[in-house]
Amino acid sequence: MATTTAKPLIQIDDEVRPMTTEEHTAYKAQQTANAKAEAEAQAKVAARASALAKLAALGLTEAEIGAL
Amino acid sequence: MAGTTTYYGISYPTNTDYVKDGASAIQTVATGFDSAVAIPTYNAQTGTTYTFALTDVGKTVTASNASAQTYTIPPTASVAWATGTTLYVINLGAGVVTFAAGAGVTVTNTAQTLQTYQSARLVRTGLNAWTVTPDSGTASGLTLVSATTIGTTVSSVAVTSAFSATYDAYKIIITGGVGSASGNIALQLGSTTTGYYAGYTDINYGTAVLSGLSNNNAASFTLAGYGTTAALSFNVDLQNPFLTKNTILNSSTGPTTTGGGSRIGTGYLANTTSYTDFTLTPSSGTLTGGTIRVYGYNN
Repeated sequence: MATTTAKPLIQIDDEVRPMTTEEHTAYKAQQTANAKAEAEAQAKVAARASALAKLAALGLTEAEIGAL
Repeated sequence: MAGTTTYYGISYPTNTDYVKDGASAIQTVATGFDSAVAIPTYNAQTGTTYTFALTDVGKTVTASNASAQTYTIPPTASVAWATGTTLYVINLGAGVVTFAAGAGVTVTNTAQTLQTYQSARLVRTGLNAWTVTPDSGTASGLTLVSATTIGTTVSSVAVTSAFSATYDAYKIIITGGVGSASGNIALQLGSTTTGYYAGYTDINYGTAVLSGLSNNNAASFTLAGYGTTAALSFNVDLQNPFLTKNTILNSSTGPTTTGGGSRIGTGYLANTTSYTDFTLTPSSGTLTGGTIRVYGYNN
């Protein structure tokens, strides 16, 4: 027998109910897009931290790095 | 009384009549006066709309509804308002009472809405001119537009009719509530899923390291708030969401987790769409409890 998985709950003002198929599709797409945006933001932070670490390894002081 | 004329529900002998039974006429007038004027009476309204009537004069109109309510002043052509008429209204409900003008009526100071337990007098200043005069003084800087209680384990919460022509700027703030996991709370306007640009400065509590985060043509303001299993942190100001201009974001959040950091963001939504609704979505897990309140900055 096929099993069904309950969809996440959506709230619109005071009404709480399971998402419709269309809402669930839109929700998943939004979550994917948001996760991508967050990953990109965090990747930039990580890249900057990596660059600063390499500069420090080259012997630059924090003041010198800050002045760049 | 042979002939009578009625004013505000009280029967008086017509002044051209010969009053045969004077004592009876006086008693009738006195009884009418008691019921209409001398004994304070209420008009208890519980709907979301109401149009004032002549019988409201001299009474206290009480408004009681959990949702927003609109009270309309009809024109003199519909109701024979007397010169200097004053209507008295008290809001006993959770919803905000807004005053509106009927056809051909001008009501000034309609930005003055009634929060719970606030009251106002509506003073007729002309044939079809009225002024809202709040008993609690002039409007404060912020007026509550809506309060939405977050349900249990919801994955997204949409608030409709949050933005209107009444205000150009809004504050959205969450009090109480928890998340099922730690994660960001994204803010989406209407159904728009593109064009969100924002920059966020993030200072880690432990290391004090400053990081820059951004939304670059993102599907929402992904970092507007933050939720943990301890609390929800969401405090956003929006400019122009209802106007046909770019919507501008100002956000601040302090995640309640020792590994988190203070985050302040500013940005904009790159379109000129007029929005009335918004949706909050946690990046992971669900939200439970707490209240989303929307305030309008008085113009």
